[in-house]
Amino acid sequence: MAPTPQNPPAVATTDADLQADLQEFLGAAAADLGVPGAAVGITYRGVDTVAVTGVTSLADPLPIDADTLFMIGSTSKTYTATLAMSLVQQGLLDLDRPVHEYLPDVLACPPELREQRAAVRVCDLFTHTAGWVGDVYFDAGPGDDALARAVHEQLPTVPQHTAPGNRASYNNLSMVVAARLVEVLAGGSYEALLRSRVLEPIGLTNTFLFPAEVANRRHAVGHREVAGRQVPMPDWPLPRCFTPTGGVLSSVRDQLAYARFQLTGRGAGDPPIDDTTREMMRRPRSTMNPAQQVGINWLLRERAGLQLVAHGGNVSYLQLSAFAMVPEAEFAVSTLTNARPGEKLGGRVLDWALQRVLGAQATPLPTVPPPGDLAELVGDYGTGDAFVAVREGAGALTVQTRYPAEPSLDGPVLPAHFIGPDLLATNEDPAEPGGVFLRDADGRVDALRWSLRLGNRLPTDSASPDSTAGPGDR
Amino acid sequence: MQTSTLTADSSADRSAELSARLADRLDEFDLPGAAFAFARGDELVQGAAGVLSRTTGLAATPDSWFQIGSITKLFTGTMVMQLVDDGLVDLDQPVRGYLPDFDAGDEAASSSITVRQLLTHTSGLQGDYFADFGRGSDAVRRYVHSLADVGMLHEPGSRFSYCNSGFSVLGLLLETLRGNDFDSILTERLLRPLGIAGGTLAEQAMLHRAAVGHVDGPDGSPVVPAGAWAIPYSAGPAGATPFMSPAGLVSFVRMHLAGGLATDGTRVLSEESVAAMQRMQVALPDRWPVRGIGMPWALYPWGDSTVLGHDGGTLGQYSFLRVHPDTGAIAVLLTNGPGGAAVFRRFGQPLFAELTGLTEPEPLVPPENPPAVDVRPLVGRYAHHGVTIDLGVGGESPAMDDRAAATVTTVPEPNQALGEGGESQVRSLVPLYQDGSALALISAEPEHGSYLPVLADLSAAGLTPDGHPRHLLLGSRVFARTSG
Repeated sequence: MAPTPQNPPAVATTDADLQADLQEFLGAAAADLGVPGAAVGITYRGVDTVAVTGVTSLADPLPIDADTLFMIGSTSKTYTATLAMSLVQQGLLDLDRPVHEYLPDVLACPPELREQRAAVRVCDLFTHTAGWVGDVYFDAGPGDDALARAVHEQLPTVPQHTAPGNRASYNNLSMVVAARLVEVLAGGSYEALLRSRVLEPIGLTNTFLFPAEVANRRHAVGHREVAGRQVPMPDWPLPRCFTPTGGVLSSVRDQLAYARFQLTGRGAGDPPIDDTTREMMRRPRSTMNPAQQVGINWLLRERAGLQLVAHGGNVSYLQLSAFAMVPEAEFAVSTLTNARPGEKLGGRVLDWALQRVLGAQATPLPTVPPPGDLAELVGDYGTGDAFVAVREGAGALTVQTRYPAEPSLDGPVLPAHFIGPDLLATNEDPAEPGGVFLRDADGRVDALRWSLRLGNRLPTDSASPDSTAGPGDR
Repeated sequence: MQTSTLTADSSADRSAELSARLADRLDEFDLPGAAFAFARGDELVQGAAGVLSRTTGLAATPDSWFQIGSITKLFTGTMVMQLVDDGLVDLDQPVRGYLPDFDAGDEAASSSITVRQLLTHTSGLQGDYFADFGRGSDAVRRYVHSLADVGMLHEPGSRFSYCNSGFSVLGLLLETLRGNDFDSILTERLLRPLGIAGGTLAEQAMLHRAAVGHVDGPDGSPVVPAGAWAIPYSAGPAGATPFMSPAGLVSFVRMHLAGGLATDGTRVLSEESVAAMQRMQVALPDRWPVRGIGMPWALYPWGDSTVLGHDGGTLGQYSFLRVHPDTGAIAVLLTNGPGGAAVFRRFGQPLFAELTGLTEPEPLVPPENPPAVDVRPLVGRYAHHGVTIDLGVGGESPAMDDRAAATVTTVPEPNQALGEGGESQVRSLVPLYQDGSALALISAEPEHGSYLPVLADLSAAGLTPDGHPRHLLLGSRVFARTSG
């Protein structure tokens, strides 16, 4: 464990050795993984270190620099949470009240959903426990009414995935609802409120929320692998209503400024939330697996013997990013990339930085023997727009995430091993759990939470070990 | 340049040669980048020079996208004429017949403004009213509804004054009669049938090679990228948002030159409408840089011939289009800085002259020996939405030129929608000509290489009871007298 910082330097200096090492590591890792462009920043006790590699777009290449704008994806959720918590701190919003008290539209749903919708509390939006299907795509238009329309028109059509307040399952839709809630309580558009209440006070001058703000600044273009080559994708992936859940654009420098605020409360002006609120956001409230909890709405992970306060971003597998802090060490690392292998790059950078800066080594979790009856675990576990296929072969399990509507996004078939009862890990990342089977009151496996998403066990007639087609997109 | 063919040796050589020539002009006029296309018949040569953004340094290419600005008005006009072709619109009917809520803040005007007047900049609406109504599909509608609070500039049909707002009204006409938003109509009715790559939204532009506008740097320093991407979305039908490459504009013009047919033979517009758009509807004053206005083609005097075209300007992107139907020649220059106008004059116009065999227009400049005229009746205050001007007689201002007959002080209101600060500007004016009751003055100093002409109508009909002109025409904009 790294020592607790006593008196961090008031003025940031640079760590030339760290910069050189990081640059060398990043250049090699990005080349190895085939990431077209990436920016990495480390802040440690007030000292920022940045390294960049590659280009914004392989079609129209510009060198990535420290101010290049990337879509930070779901790390945006922590911005939305910070904004919402500023209202909580003001007494405008109560985390324990039902959402429908602030947003009656939540109850404008089919009668059979009403009871469950009425039970969704404000904090469920941030702890991924609202229970409605979280991965839904729709375009509520580019106008100032985008969030209002999303909640009014779309939410009633979304089925309930699991009971509210119970099993956590990663939920994009909940951030759309939370952002609308902020609009209603504070008055104004989400984007204007985030700018005036969070971005400006922290001093994030290079953080943007609209494509038109980014079009005339240097920005990364997301890539996708086509016939073995990374190709820049020409379509903007996110309608406006998804900005609160994944649409913030930021540079690695601004990511470090954001990290500094979340670590120390220091920013350009009056902080949007006080120290108590900031620390409350890191307290565990719901559980993903024994090594991962959720605060508001930070993802709290154990890794390399450290408690990480983290998030990550994945915009349609186009721009992948990772953001992790170790608060007691006043340490954070951010990786921004413009292609799918950037996800692995973010993991490698994190482990490298934990080791290089804090001396903490991520090690594989010890394996345990598999249970005798693997067959009871085999099946398809539906998460909404995807399902996780668990199969048995040669006395072991394999796991694959599949997207019936877009098979090109299907993940690889990963051999899984047990690290505890009902607890799986893969060699993709043996240092943290990959998934956990959940059981009903009778002890029967009825769900698999793979990564952060709850997969409900699907009827067996739709699960066949060698079928390639999964259940339809629901 | 040989006039016999555009592609004398090979189009690649020609492109390289012209691009190099363009590059020299960029340096001369502090223009970051530009792309061009010259066409005649089936021949086409394209090229580019410089950078799309001085911040990123990304090189301009022939297929880079630039905002075409007010050249968009030709697209909007074409789509309105498609409504005429479809029997949905009569040009001489009041627009209120199609937009029952239309309210320009003046009942008589609101019920009489015709579609034709909107197409020819003669409606009398305050033409330079810009306001941000967001990015929603209701932006144009909300903008047009807000015209009720803006009021009129002049009586409908009485005179020409370049009118952006009128094109947003036409945009709403399209949206209402087609039951779709302007962007979708533009895509379905013109961009797609003509195979034009481009669009209207920042999120479309930003993942491609797209130019960024540049504005004058502080204190005369080189131009820098503009702070904002585009003029508010509500002005899309007037030209705020569309972007494409020079070749895209060539495709559009070729349709007009082919009597309304796309290259695959699809009819996009009737021959009658193509011709109607090119006919002069409004004549501009003698010696003005534009001879007259079609619907809404601008008719430029090139010697005795008339050249069709349009210019465009957005937040730091400037575009130029010239067409000579007789020879089938087309010139397009798309640029990303205020130096674009000078580069077009020095690079684009001479090439177009060679291509057509026409004589380049003489630039309008202050005369060496200005005629003696009496400017005193002009003294006073005039206004156009968002801008007030004060006209004083020569010698009253310290900024006087020896030859000056008058000064004109322009005081714009700060405009948040355009990110403009509202700095006032003083110009000296010298007499240009007096022809009967028409008195013309011209600015003594050039701005970005051109001079501003000013016209006053001193006929009995044009004067107030106190003997002052009711209106001044500054360039292409009317200012109405507000002082007694």
